[in-house]
Amino acid sequence: MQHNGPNTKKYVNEATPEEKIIAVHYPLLHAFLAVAMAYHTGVHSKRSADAVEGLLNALYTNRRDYAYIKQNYKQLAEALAYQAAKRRITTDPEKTAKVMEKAFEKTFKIIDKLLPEVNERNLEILGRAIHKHTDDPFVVLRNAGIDIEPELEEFRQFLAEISGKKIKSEKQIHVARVPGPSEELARAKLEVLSILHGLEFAGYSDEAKQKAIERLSSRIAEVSAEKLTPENLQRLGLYAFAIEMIKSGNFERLREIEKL
Amino acid sequence: MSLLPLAGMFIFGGKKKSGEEKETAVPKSLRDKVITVVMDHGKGLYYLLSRATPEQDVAKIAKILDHNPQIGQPNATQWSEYKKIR
Repeated sequence: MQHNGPNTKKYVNEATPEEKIIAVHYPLLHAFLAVAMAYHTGVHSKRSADAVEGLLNALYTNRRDYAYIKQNYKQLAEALAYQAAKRRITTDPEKTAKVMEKAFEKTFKIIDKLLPEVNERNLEILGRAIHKHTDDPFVVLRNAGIDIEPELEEFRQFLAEISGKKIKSEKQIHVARVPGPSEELARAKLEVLSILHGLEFAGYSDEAKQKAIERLSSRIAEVSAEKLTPENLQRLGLYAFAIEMIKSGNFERLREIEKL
Repeated sequence: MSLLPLAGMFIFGGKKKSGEEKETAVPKSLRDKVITVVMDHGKGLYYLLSRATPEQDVAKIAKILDHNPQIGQPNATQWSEYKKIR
């Protein structure tokens, strides 16, 4: 199968402001497609993101907006497979094209939820949610009345399938709809581990530690207000343990919860 | 005083004005918010993405996007064409 990438104009005029604002959908497309490419190819590095960048550069240089991308995603999935083959991260471009078609569809759902329309309010929320200083995008989204969890769950299932970690359908339904108590605990564990990774990113700075403690304390307050169940008490214990370990700087001990 | 600099000011001043008129088509406040989304994404995006993966491991996302701790942003998007929006 012969793939041809979109034509790239090498010499173009400076973009007008209208043309510039079409860039707003690109970071999300780039990031979600890069992650899908990484899970599909098994190459969990910038190489997967570079393949997506190759396609997006051609699109942006040609001033293609989000509507165009949505209309032509099947062809674009082929172009993306071509970019992946060029970087030697796939040996089967046809299969990659099929997988990336699905990746486009799932990514569109997420973007449409996060940015249903390009206006100042929506951009303000999205900008804050994905910002480099944001520790918890879900608080930002929840406060704005956006529940992105179903779309993320769908993407999660998709990645599990393409990476060979297929989840049983019975469990799929369970996970997708009604979170059980043990799942809540697992989610709390992931939340604590995410905070730990966040601290790592921030070099365990005092400011980051303070923020982490504040976030955990607010979670304790939230869970304390919920129904008293053994699982909720376990979650509270987990958050309290995390606060104690952060205060004492015992991050290795905190990391042990990964094995639980 | 030579008229040459004056002529230059006129020519360049005139060109700049037409550019500024074009810019007014999109309000600056909206452009600023677009710039925030395109230029300042980082940790928040990692956490959002990590929730969309089976392991929900934010470190894996940082690896795929080649997180640059010095700027707190992914190297993967730093030199993309779509970032040339200022």
